[in-house]
Amino acid sequence: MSRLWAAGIVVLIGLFLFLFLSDAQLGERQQVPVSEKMVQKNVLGTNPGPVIFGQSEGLEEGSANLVTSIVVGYRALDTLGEIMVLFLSALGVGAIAHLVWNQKLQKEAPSFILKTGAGIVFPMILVFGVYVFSHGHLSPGGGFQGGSILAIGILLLYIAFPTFELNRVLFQRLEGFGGVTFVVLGVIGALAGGAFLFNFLPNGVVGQLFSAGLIPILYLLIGLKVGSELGGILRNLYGGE
Amino acid sequence: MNVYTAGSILIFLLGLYGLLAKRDLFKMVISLSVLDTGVNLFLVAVGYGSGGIAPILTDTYPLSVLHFVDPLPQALVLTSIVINLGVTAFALVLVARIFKKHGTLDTAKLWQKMGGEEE
Repeated sequence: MSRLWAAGIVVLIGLFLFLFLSDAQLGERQQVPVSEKMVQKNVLGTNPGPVIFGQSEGLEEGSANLVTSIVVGYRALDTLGEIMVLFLSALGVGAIAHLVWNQKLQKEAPSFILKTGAGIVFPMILVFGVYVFSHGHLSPGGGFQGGSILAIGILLLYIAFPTFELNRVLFQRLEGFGGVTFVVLGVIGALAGGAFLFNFLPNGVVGQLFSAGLIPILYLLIGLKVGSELGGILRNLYGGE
Repeated sequence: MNVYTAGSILIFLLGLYGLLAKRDLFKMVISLSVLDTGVNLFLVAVGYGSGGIAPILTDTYPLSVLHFVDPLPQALVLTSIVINLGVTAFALVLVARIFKKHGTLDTAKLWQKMGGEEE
């Protein structure tokens, strides 16, 4: 398609979007009932007062990070679908990558600085990744972000050490463990509370590390699964068999 | 409409233009990524209100009745980012496979090689 046609279509769609959206009160936060209920942790109508950090106890959902309380609390089933999509994508990459790269990529010899630096930085990256996904219910971050940080650590190893090869069996086990335990916890929730992924653990006080019931456990599993999956994608892109 | 929503729509249109006008498959994957970024920014901008704070209860902002930005679009965008990552990774491997098989990433040449008729 020629550039003029493309520019014309883009300008048309742009005009439509701007004219259509200019009347809407975008960016002015309205009191959306659904969101408001989730922020006040009052979806079931059991918590009439505001949630207080460090004091509120025994709520229907105990995460201090309100985005996490939606992603892994109220809508945990969506997150299961999300990791399913990522798993399928990793599977597709693995299925096609070996048709593209028949042998390992020839890599430049890493410099002394890179090798020494990788040895120092790698443990820190691991610790930071684990911190990010174990504090997903208290601070910005969570399983996906922490898992990505772990995968960055693996990428650093691949760059710094030419002979490095990921332990495929171990990582597949980790990935499978994460996914299966997620579903098993969901089924236990269904048996205990009548809904798939029901939060059957005590929620504790909002804002403490050991609070929010199932959420830190689920984020730990997601972090392991995402980290090993992205590590597997990197391994495939580097031409490992 | 404020500057955030307008800017995110512009990024979306930039990605759309790249997707339509570029003939190189690799550039199309990049355009798709830019387009996705525009959509994500738009969703976050819809949930933002002026003076809103991050929707996390902390020692500094301990009450849930404070002026938080809307957490629901942010939760949606978290899903969207992960799916964007998966789509991009898979698309890049497909592009690499096409380049290995046909030796080109130009969509017009690929069309001819696959037996398509001249436009």
